[in-house]
Order: sequence, then C-alpha cells, then structure tokens
Amino acid sequence: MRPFAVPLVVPLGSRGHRAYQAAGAVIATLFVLLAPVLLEDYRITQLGQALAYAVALLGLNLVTGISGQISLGHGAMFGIGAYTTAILVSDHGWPFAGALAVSGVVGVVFGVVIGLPALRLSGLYLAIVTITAATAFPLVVVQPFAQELGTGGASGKPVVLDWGKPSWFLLDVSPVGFRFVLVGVVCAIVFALTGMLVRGRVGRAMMAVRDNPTAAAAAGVNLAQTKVGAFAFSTMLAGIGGSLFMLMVPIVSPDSVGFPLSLLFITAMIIGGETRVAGALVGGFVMVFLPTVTSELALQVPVLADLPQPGLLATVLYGVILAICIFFLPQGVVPLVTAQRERFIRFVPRGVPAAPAPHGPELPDRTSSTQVPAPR
Amino acid sequence: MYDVIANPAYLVQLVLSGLSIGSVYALFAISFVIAWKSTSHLNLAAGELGSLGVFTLSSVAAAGAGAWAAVPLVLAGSAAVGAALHHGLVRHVAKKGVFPVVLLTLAVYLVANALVGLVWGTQPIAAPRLFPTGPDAQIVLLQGPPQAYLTYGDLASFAALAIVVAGLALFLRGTRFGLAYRAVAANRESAGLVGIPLARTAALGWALSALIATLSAVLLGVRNGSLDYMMMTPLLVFGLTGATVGGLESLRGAVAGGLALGVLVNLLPGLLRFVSGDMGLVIALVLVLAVLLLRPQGLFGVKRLERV
Repeated sequence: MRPFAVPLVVPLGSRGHRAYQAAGAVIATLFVLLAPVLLEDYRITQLGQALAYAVALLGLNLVTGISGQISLGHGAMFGIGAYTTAILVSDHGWPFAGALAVSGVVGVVFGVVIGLPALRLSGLYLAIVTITAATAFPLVVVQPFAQELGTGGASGKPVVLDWGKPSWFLLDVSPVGFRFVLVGVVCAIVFALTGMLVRGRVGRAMMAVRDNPTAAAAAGVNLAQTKVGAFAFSTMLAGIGGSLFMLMVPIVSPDSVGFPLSLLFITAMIIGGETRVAGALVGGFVMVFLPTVTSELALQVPVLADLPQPGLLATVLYGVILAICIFFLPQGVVPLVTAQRERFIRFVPRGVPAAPAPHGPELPDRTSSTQVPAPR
Repeated sequence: MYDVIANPAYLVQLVLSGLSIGSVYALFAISFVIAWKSTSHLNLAAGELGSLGVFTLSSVAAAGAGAWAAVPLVLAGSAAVGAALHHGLVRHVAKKGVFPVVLLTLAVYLVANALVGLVWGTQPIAAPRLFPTGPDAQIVLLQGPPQAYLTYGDLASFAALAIVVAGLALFLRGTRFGLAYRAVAANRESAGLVGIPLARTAALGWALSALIATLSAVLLGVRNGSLDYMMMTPLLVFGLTGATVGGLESLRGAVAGGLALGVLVNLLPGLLRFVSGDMGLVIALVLVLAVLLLRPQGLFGVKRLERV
C-alpha cells in the first residue's frame, strides 16, 4: 500500500482541525513578521501591495463569487478609499487608523448609492452601472470641485506619512517594513472576519441568492437587502484596500485607479478563484507579480524586447489567461490546491461518514434535508 | 459672452452637435442591442473590435488604397470577426451562464485593446480622411458670432445612423434571416423548436453588432481627426448607457437613448456652469442610475413577466 493513499479524515471543529487552523495562523503571523526582517524594501513593498489588493479582491469575491453579481467598478472603489485616506491624512492631519475607518465608510456609502438602483433588478445591471462608474471616476477626480476637496488633479495626490518604527516595536525593520506589518495585520483581521461572515448565516443567504433567487426568496431571504448588503460590504473592503495601499505606495493619481485597474481586479479574481476566500490572496499576488514577470520575460525574447510598450504584453497575457480560466478553470487555481491537499488530509462536517460508501454517498435523512424543491 | 445658453445660435449649436455625437452613441447602443436580442449577452468586446477595424482602415488608407474603397472591406471583415467570436468562443461558454460570457468578452477586450496598442502604438495617429475636415469645411446654418454650423462629420454621423436604422428595418422585416432573428429575439426556446438554427442566428447578431460597432469607431475616428487606442472605452460606456436608458431589448430605445444622451452630455455643462471639462461619463452614470431607479426596464423597454 502506498503511503498517503488514504487521506487522513478530520471532522470539522475537532481538535485536529483546530490544530490545522492554528498552524495556518502561525505561518501567516511568521510571514508578516519575518518578511520585513529578511527582505529588502522593494520586495516588501510588492508584498504589501499584494496584501492591499487582496483585501479589495476579497470584496470582489464576496459580490461576484459568493452572491453572484458582477462588479466592474472595484478599481474606482479602491481609488475612493485611496483618495479619502490621502486627503484626510495629508490635508487634515488625521491619524491613519481614522482615515482607514472613514475610507471603509465612504466605500459603504458609494456601494449603497450605486448598488441600490442596480441590484433591485436581476441580471447585468450592476455590471453596466459599475463599468460606467469605473470609467467616470478618474474624470471626477480632476474636476475643479474635486480639486477643492484636495484630490490634486491629474498629477495625483501624495500621502505624507512620516512614520518611523515606534520604540515599542522590537523587530529590526525599516519604516517600510513596519508599514507592511500594519498592512498584514489589517489584512489578517479583514480576512478572518469575512471568512466567518461567509461561513455563517449571511454567507449562506448570499449563496442561496446566487444559486436560485426564487428559492431563496421563498425561503425567506430578502433578495434586494442581501444583494445590496453584499455589494456595500464589498465596496467597503475595496475602500479599505485602497486605504492600505497608501501605506505602501504613497501617491494616488487618476491614471492609477481607472478602468484598467477594475479589469485587473476581475482578472485576478477569476485566476485566484471567485468563490474562495483564499482566492483573493492568490489574486493579490497575481496582480503585483504577473506584470513584473511578463515584462522581464518579454525582455529576453528578441522580437518582443523591441516593442514600444512592453507593459501591454502583460495586458495581452491577462486577457489570454482570463479566457483560459473561463474555459478550463472556472473556479480558479485555489480548488486545484485544495484537491492536492485532500489527497493527504480531508475535512468533513461532523456526523458525515468518513469515506463515501462504494455505491455513492448515503442519502441524508429526508426530514432534515435543507434542500429546497427546484422551481418549475 | 456668446457662450451663454440663452443665446439661440449657441443653443442650436449645442443641440446639433449633441444630436451628432448622439448618433454615434446611438449606433453603438444599436450594436449592443442587436447582440443582446439574439443571445441575451452583453458584447463588451464590440468597441475594441471596432478599434481594430478603424486602425486597420487607417493602415490600408496610408498604404495608398482608397480609404472609401477600404471601408466596406473593413466592415465586412469586422462582421466576420464578430461572427467568429460568437461561434468560436462565446457559444461554448454561454451554457455556463451570463457572467462567464461577460468575462470572456472582457478578455477579448483586453487582448484586442493591448494588441492595438502594441501594433499601432499608444500615441494618437492620424485618422483616415474620408471627407473634408478643418475649420473651413463646415456648413453654416446661422450666421454671425456665434455661428451654428454642421461639419461633414456631423452629416456623416446622421447619415450613418439613418442608413443603419433603415437597413436594419428592411433586413428584419423583409428577409427570412430577419424573420428568424426576430423569432429568436421574441422567444429563443420556441424559435429553436420550430427549427430556426439558433447558433447561426446568434452568430448573425454578433456579426451585425461588430459591424455596427466598427462603423461607429470609424465615425468617431474621422470626427476626432485622430485615432487613439483607448478611444473606444468611453464610447463603450456611452453606448451601454444609451442602450440601458432606452431599454436593452429595444432598437428604437437604443436610438432614442443614444441621441438623448448626446444632447444631455452637450447641454448640461452649458446649463450648469460649475461643471467643467469632460463630464460626459459622469452625466451618463447619473442618467443610468436615475433611469434604473424610476423606470428599470428603460424608456422603451417592456417588462417581461416570468412564471416561476
């Protein structure tokens, strides 16, 4: 018998499962604390960008993967968070934590304003409204009234954060490293809370709305409320992500938060896996590292190195990867990783037989079935 | 100060140029609606297919061939690309749902947009000269400063919209393919049951969509006098807004929505003096939100009743 031929089966919520989760938390903590000690500032900045993107992508996962609506405007929401933070911190002397919170609130407000008209209807209206918002946002920023608010117009808005490492922080890190730790901590909190939300009652309601709106409504789920709530929560996360991004790249300009950013978010979400919380993390790293990797690769190919715009090659590659994912990998890469893990260790709900019976899974008790009858 | 809204010639000029750019929006909105009616999918790649077409046209014209002779070739080519896009890619994803198709057209958008940027560069290039342009090439309607006038680009936009609307009306009402298309638009399942080839009808819808989008791209390029690899993204949004305002299912609505949007985008900055610069997309956003709040099915749309 080959080793590991039979996976270890662990019930959810058992001591073994808790130990697995704790190990994951320890690894994440070590990563956030050790990366700034071991790496140089340039790499730390990239990792921090990836984490900030991941927070916004988590929001996108929530609205698209979990509750089944499509948003093409998360770049704008990310930008709103970034601008809010930049203006509050630089012009009004707010502490960063306050600006972060306000960025989230502003995200919620815009989510409700945009989501409420579009999400009462089924179908593609959210996509239409958000694509308009994503293209309009960079133009709003350069308007005179927006410049009076302090957006800095076309040249962008810098954030003035003169933060060194405080004395109570014992690790030997650079100022960038300390800011990275902050990003990591906020990111971990957001992921933990959102994970709980998705696994709980609210998440189940969202998935019910995604899978069968009629059945969900019949089961007592308020469709409009759930959809608008999911969208507002997701735009809040996008605002927080944009705010965190300011810790890593202390300037935001209209060009950096336009429609292309929204498209990158969508692509990264699909590559990571739209229905998985972990997919957002993968997507964040894809957003940061795919353009770098492609342009480095392109420089080594003689024909491609002569092209006037090597950055556009990354865009071509994004498009091709997006199409490939839609065809062959609609769930993204995270389920592939999960499948590999399940060869060794599987987590099953309590009370479910450890291995499926040879003739297929046992039918659950009829009376306790949570299945709803399919609509006619 | 001549540029006050109360000045009749200025007002006429604003409305005229609004209607004129509105015709381009209306064409693009028609392109959405024509793909939507046959498949219930949004073709977000249409603009970039048009962009490919108009850049090709400029290269062909620069190579010495007559620009006018190249126009029908480019239009036919983009129709073929549109049909191939549906037949080769979209059709296979369509059964997975609406969102994968939107994402797929976005993937095509990304690739086509970046390809245009790679081949023709990211700097604006000269548009093909199809008719006289410049400060003197205009037909003055009202004399004296400020003038009210029409350019040849305005006339071409009106003419193109009229030709497309008339052509579609003839095609949809007068031919077997048009009848099949209308049957599919009315009820896809029943149309399939009576033997109408759904895949072919859908490909026809997407071919027409790409063709009309290319026509609007050519018009936009000629009006601007230059071609830019990002020029179709705002038009995509304006077209989408026009189609939504008019009702996604209605060709009549697309025309009305596009024209209304053009006039609004031109008039509002004249009326409200505190906005300045390029506010068109913001006006579009506010308009589409307002329409979805007040009349979700669009101005000309029909509420579909569903049995569940």
